[in-house]
Amino acid sequence: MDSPGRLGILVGGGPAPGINAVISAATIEALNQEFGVIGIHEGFKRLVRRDASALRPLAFDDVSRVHLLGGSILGTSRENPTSSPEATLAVIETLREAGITHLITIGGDDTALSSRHISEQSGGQIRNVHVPKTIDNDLPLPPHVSTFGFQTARHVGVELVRNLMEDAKSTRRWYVVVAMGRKAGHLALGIGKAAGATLTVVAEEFAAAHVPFATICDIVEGAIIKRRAMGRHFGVAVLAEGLIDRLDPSEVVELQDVERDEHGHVRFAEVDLARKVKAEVQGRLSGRGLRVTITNKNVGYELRCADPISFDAEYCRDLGYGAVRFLLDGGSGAMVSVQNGRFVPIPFDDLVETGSGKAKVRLVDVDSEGFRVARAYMIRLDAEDFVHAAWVDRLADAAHLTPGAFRERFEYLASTRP
Amino acid sequence: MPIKRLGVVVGGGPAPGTNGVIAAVAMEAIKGGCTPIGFHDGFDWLAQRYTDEQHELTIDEVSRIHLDGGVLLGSSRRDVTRDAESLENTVAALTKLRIDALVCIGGDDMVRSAVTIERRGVVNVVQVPKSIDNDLWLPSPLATLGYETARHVGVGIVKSLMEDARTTGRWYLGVTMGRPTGHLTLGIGKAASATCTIIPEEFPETPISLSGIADIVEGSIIKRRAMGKSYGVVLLSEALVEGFSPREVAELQDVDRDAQGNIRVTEIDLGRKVKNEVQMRLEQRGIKVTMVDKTIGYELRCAPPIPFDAEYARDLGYAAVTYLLQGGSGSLVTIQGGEFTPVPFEHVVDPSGAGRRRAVDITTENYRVAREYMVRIGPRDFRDPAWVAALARAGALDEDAFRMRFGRFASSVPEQITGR
Repeated sequence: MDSPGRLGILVGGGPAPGINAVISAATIEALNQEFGVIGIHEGFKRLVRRDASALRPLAFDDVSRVHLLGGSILGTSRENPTSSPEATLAVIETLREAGITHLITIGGDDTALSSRHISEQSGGQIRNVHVPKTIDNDLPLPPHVSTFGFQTARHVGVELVRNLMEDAKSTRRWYVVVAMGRKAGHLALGIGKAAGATLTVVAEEFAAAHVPFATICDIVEGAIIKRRAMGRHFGVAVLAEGLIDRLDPSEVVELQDVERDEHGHVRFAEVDLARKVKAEVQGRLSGRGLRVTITNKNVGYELRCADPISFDAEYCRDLGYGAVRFLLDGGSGAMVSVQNGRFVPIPFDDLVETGSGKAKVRLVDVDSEGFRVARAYMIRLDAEDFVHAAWVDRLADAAHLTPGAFRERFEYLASTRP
Repeated sequence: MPIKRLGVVVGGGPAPGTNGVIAAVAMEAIKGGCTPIGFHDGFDWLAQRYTDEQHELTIDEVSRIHLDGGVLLGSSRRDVTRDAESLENTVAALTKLRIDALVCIGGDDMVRSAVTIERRGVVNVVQVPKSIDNDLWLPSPLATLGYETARHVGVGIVKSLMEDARTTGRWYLGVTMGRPTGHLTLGIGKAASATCTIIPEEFPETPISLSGIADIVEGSIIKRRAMGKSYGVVLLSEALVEGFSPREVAELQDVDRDAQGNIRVTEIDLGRKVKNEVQMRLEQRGIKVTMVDKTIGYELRCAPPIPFDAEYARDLGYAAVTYLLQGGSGSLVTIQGGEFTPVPFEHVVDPSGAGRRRAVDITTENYRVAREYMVRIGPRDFRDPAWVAALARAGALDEDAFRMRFGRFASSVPEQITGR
């Protein structure tokens, strides 16, 4: 059998559990199909610098035991090869000089768009397929199709939040947890719903462009008050990191000169939302003589390189295999997906907004049954809390406010329910 | 006088295995013919003379909880010795409830209450040493209950961060719980093999300076760069801040102050401060290093116990009850060499009645091994001029500047202690 060509495998963006399983599955199937396989180290970073030492052959022994390990044996980077024509040319020429004819990229939307750009600019000399990877679950796949890594990240996140819930109960305190996920609230909601956190707040709940910081604090404070009225002096509030992106920069000083990454995205970690909410809510409550211990916690970085759970280990084998098969069948310019047990390529054009060319972000669908169920089990101030005067009195009492002041402060939240 | 009613109370921060002790105590008490009473929320209610915030424990309630995290009875930091009234209330409530013996499950804060109540002579008291901090006054290799689970879960997190650091080419600064000692931080860092672990015990002379810590971290980063590695994980004990000089802290921006305007030294966001300082220094010399700070601690305290702590909890609970039923009192319950060994309270408290704390002993072989595998600048880095030149290059410094900045590590105190 003639070799169908030489396959390069590259990882971009933040790590996600299962990357090594994709590399392993793709390498093994490609070798079985007589491809030469080259691992490209550190994403596009060294290609942009024409560093050919970033290209190293992958053999069976390199990949046969890595599929259950977290991290990426090829490393990763956020380097953007579309930032200049020179960068793009450097990547294409370095790949071509190494004889690479086919490229599998593993990454999120930025890496997908970089992959498309490289393939297009190569004039079809480099055929490509992309494997969608992100713990954020925010790529435009059909509903119920997760990005790989999401399920493991949320599994590990649930373990951590479960410990915090037990801790909150044992020590009668509140935890304010900010979960990663960039603009989308999938990871926060996935963790909060599965763990049964007291409440989870995602940015998708809010229709307006900006979410006032005070509103986020009102929701958390309202939940604390409602739980107090129920005789429960503890809880865990999970907030999606995406809320940071929706804060009004004029309100939050850290947003005014915030660090951005190579793709122009805000480095969310630069705004410590959990700490800010804790300080504000604790200050408000203690101002009214209510002593509530609130502890802030960020969850995210420790999830990205966890060892994959079975779901992702199996899923990633499918994706890696599917990517090679797609290329072997002459395909290019698409993202591989598995839907109802079958491989479905999704053209890159479907990943971007028509017009702007920006990557589509799959957000949490707050109209879905899935969200409705999550919401129904949360403890937050809702419309029904303002119906009976006796209950309003009790809530107001728990809040150290008069019933009138309580309504004035919190009744507006009743109408924010999606 | 035979023990008829035996109380159980949990104090301090939660630690894995606590439910196992509650279960073992309740079952062995029932078997021994007495009634186990579980008090809710530490001494919170007793100190207010409440006599209805407890309940009788049954086999059914406790027979399945020994592998669960958390505290069935709730916990609090209430110190009954804080004022005379709290102590009187507690003694009165225990007397009214006809409690003959009390098992206190807690750490060094709890021991003060346990000792004081015991000295009043109306109830026999033992304490089960429970703390993720591992800092109770126990003979050297003995761990406090919960420590091994906490560090196991912590190692899982740090393992992910190490993999993440390598994958993304960055540095993580993990700030780990365990005030006022470095046991948990060192235990995690050594087992996970973090690049470098910094604990307060390394600095016998206080104050500890933020810039001194930044020097160590920066040195590690430079040394790793010289070794061709652009990533790593540094663990810092959160207890380091307790040794900070208030004067240095006062010069920092963005610190929390209390109502009187005093800086809350212990509220300093240590990870963020060190990250900003090190990143700024390196950037000024044109070295771009991505650093991310991360706190580790709260998520460890209520993890389900690993088998080590599940078994240990049963031993401790059983030993506590048999000792009390034999008329014992006034001791810390320990298991040494597989045998129950009561350690009298007077050995575990200082003359003021406060629990004595066991710091990490940096003169041990244990510590030496931990230190040997860290990557930090030390005496051996100054022996070979070519290596000094390589380090200086990796730090974008000329050799004189490098020696000026890091030369003191050529003879740093812990290394003298460990014999190098």
